[in-house]
Amino acid sequence: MTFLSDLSRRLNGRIGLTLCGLVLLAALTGLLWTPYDPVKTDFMARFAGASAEHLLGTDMYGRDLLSRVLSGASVSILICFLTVALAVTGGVVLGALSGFVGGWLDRLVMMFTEALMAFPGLLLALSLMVILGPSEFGVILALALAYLPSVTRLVRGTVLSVREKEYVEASVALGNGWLYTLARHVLPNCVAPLIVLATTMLGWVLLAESALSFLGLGVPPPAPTWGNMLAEARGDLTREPWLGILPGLCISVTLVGVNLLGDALRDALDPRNDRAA
Amino acid sequence: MWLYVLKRILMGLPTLFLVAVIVFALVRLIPGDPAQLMLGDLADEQSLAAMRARLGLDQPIPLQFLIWLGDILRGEFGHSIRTGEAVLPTIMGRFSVTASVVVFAVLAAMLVAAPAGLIAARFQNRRLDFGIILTAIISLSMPSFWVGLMLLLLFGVTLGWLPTIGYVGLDEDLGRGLLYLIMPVVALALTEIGVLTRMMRSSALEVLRLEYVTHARAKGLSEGAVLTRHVFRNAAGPSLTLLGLILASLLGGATVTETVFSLPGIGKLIVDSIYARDYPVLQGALLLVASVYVIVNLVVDLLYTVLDPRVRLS
Amino acid sequence: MKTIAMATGSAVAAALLATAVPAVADTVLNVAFVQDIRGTQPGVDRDGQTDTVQMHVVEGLVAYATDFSVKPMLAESIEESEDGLTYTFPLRHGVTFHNGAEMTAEEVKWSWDRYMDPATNWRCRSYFSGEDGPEVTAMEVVDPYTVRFTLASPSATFLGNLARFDCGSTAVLHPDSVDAEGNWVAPVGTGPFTFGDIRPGQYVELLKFPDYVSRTDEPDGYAGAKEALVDRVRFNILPEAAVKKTAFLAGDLDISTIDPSDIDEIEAAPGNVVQTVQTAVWDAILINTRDPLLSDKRIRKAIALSIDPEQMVAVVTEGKGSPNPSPVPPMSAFYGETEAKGIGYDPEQAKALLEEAGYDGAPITILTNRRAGGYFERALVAQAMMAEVGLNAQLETMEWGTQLDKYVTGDYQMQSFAYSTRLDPALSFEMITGDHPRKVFRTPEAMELVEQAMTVSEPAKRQAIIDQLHEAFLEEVPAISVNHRVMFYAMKDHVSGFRGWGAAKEIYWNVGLAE
Repeated sequence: MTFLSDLSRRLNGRIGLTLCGLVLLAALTGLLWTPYDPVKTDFMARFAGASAEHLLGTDMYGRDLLSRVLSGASVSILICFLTVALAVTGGVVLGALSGFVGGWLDRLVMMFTEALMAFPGLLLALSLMVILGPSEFGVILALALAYLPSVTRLVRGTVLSVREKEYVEASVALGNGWLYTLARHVLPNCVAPLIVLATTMLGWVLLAESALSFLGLGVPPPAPTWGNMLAEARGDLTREPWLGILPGLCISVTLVGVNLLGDALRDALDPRNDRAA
Repeated sequence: MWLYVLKRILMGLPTLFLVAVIVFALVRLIPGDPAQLMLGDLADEQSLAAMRARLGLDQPIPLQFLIWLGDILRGEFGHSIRTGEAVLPTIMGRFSVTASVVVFAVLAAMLVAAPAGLIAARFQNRRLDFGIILTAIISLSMPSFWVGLMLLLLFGVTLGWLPTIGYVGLDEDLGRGLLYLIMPVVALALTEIGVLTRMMRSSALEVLRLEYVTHARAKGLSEGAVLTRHVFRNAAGPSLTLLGLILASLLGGATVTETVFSLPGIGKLIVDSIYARDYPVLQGALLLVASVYVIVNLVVDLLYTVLDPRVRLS
Repeated sequence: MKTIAMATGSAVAAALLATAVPAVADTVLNVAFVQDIRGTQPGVDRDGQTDTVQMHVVEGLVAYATDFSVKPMLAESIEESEDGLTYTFPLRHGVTFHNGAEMTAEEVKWSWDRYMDPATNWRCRSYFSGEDGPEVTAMEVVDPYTVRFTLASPSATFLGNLARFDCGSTAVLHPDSVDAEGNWVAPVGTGPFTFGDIRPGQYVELLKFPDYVSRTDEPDGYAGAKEALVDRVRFNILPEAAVKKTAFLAGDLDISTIDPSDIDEIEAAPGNVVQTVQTAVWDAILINTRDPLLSDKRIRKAIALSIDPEQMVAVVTEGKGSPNPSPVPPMSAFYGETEAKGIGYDPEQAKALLEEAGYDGAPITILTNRRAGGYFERALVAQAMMAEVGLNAQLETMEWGTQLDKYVTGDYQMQSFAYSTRLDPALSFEMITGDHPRKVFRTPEAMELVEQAMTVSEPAKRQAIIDQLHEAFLEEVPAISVNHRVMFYAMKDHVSGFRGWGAAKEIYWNVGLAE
């Protein structure tokens, strides 16, 4: 808890926490309850403005916007978290093994990550989406794979930098298994940079999903995500700008929150920084 | 020294081979049939079979890979299934369009980001710092197609200042070419300004901690001189290497911007080729983009070695 | 970029010696176009969009008119023998190719022989070689201005096939179109335009052919008088609808297709006009009759009964279109009272049928995509309407190439689909009828009827067969016929003479720009 209070003492941390909290709250609400079925169409009530019935109005197919924004929050945020979780898990396993075991395994993993990194993330995800077919899981898998090499490299780098340290060698000399040593003494060093990378990644996933939707290969409609809501509204920007502004704002607010929080985390985790600053 | 360079280049070869394998696998795993797409709902069995044979798609997949690899090594990239054009000139032409946009965008971004990052670092944890960082974050928090469409609506429709569609090569007509580049460059630069400002700020902070900055200040140098002469020079180093990588990844990743501004760039070519299952173009373009990344990476690595003797020794 | 453009440009320029690039203040018509053309070789390097461009450059002996009848084009007239076995075409005098040469029977013969050579890969060769319709046993030059075709047996579709867009209208070309080895260079045709700059990813340009010799009869679809009223037509390649709309609003396009939802907004702005065109593009929701669940005719019928076609079309076309229960387009001469009869909208009967079939709420997946043309909207409305009677429909939105693959392999339950213009009623049924996995209308009766419709040419007999086919279609429910698509063209009010037609192929001759 001291860590959290430490965060909230910084301005960026405070704003970041607040924004992220709001987004999480919206996502949680969307998961449990929405005023209407977010995919229920009502062709008699298209482009309806805000009213007591529809607090944020309706979209081009007469679907309740508030419901879609809330439900979209839960889908988008879930995709973000699962993607990051998948990329981090995969990257930690590959990176740790590669860095710790070394030898041909290291060379193989590095060659593979280097080759994967050579493809711009969005293009890689795009090709994978066509292959995997349109679904939430496709998006998660495609985006996680696109980010996997970065995590792998980061973990491997950290592992390499501490592998030769005395306490690690001591642990091995004491007869501890290498897996134990890895988990107990090596990996904790990766936590701080990983958290910072993960926050950047969360934001990137949100943007990438909207870009994929724009190119027609994101989470398939009618299920709402902020990204595909924004993409769907692009033809109506001149007539009903609100349809685009709303999901666009949600995405931007989340990104600002996540990035500020990331900055605050980095500052807080940096031992050189004066904690009171 | 030269041995190291040679070794490093040789090490890049298996990576390139792996890249080629990934490219081929990705492309061929995509479901769909170019012959079918070409003939659409009018297709019948005979014309489909004839079309597949014409496109060389009736060969077994591993054989197709070997044929492709052999062709590439001989510099023969084949012809587009979609338009019949030779692949190599097509992808080089498209790549040059993307390159002109990306280079201008990164330059523009750097011009804004470098001073902004320096100032933010100098006034760390003050209001100015926070304001700059917040602006930077907001600028990278907007989906790029959204920014692009907004620019189109504002400058194209409402104000009517800039053309909304079309592209004129800089080599054909410099003035008009630049006019067509303004919006895509701004749209791309906006995101990069955010990224680069934050990067510049953190590397400047590293430098500011060092003793010689204190020395410089003690010598009575003005704050401006300290920042430009000492801090900027030393902070720019690590930023530059990252800049190279940003450049390389943008060269293939400006797809959305190219789509919004209907620019004939490599990213858009790749998306169009995916939709049309244009295997030869898709393979060639992906290979080019990935190879550029590998090569830039290599060059950056080697430059590092040349510039930093410590790396060379180890 | 530049190198390719210049290479294409110079190849074209070399082939079209007569074409001078206009020096100053030339008029340019900017139109929206969806994708790159596949090439310049009619009937060979083609797709539906490419045909649209190529038809400005080349012409055949005969051409389709607005009412989908076949009229003479380069032929002066069409003379069919009593027994239906020979067709004689006297040619128009004084028609010039783009290289200045006069068109004679020689070139017609040369073009035909080239098409019938398997090495040419002409898309329509099988329609005339005997594989797929009566064989053309002879094609002779009678005199310099007359050619004659002899058929093995009478055909209802011979003239129509000659005029087909996907056959490149069996265009008459000058031998300069190919090089000494017979390789394709560029079309040296007789059309009112020639190819200019082709820049993949950007635009295709057509240049006015100043020496075009026009027919004197009224303009009528691809037939009749043609005149290039602008110096250049630029087909701007803009696949993204939002970008296209923005470009039109900004005044960078003169003519553009638009989505129905944009009509009001565009009409409201000063200087814009919207033209509504009924086309023969068939929008349908296919039902896979081989699917375990949907092989039950009662369920298929319940699906059809659950859908209110009036409301669906009203929603998708913003009230501008009307439903059509038949695959035969409404402008067809064979579209009669029988074809206008649908299965009706009856949710109560639908529920009863589902009860009877013992439907247990198993999900039914409708495939769709986000291409322009309302595929997604139709599926969305169908889903909502099916839900009203208790059918558990799910949407699966995918990229077009993937959906097309599933269409061909028959790997789906239902899908929102569309068929391009078929100008013959027999073909309107042929496209869904047969044994292949991509066909949904699979009863032996239907296949037999289609077979007959392809050969019988006597109108009354044909009508009877088409009527029977329609009845069988309603009985079998292999698809829900939604409508024949209405298209919307937005244009600036300085554009004159643009006329959309049922073929859904834009025509830019006789289109001018006022000052």
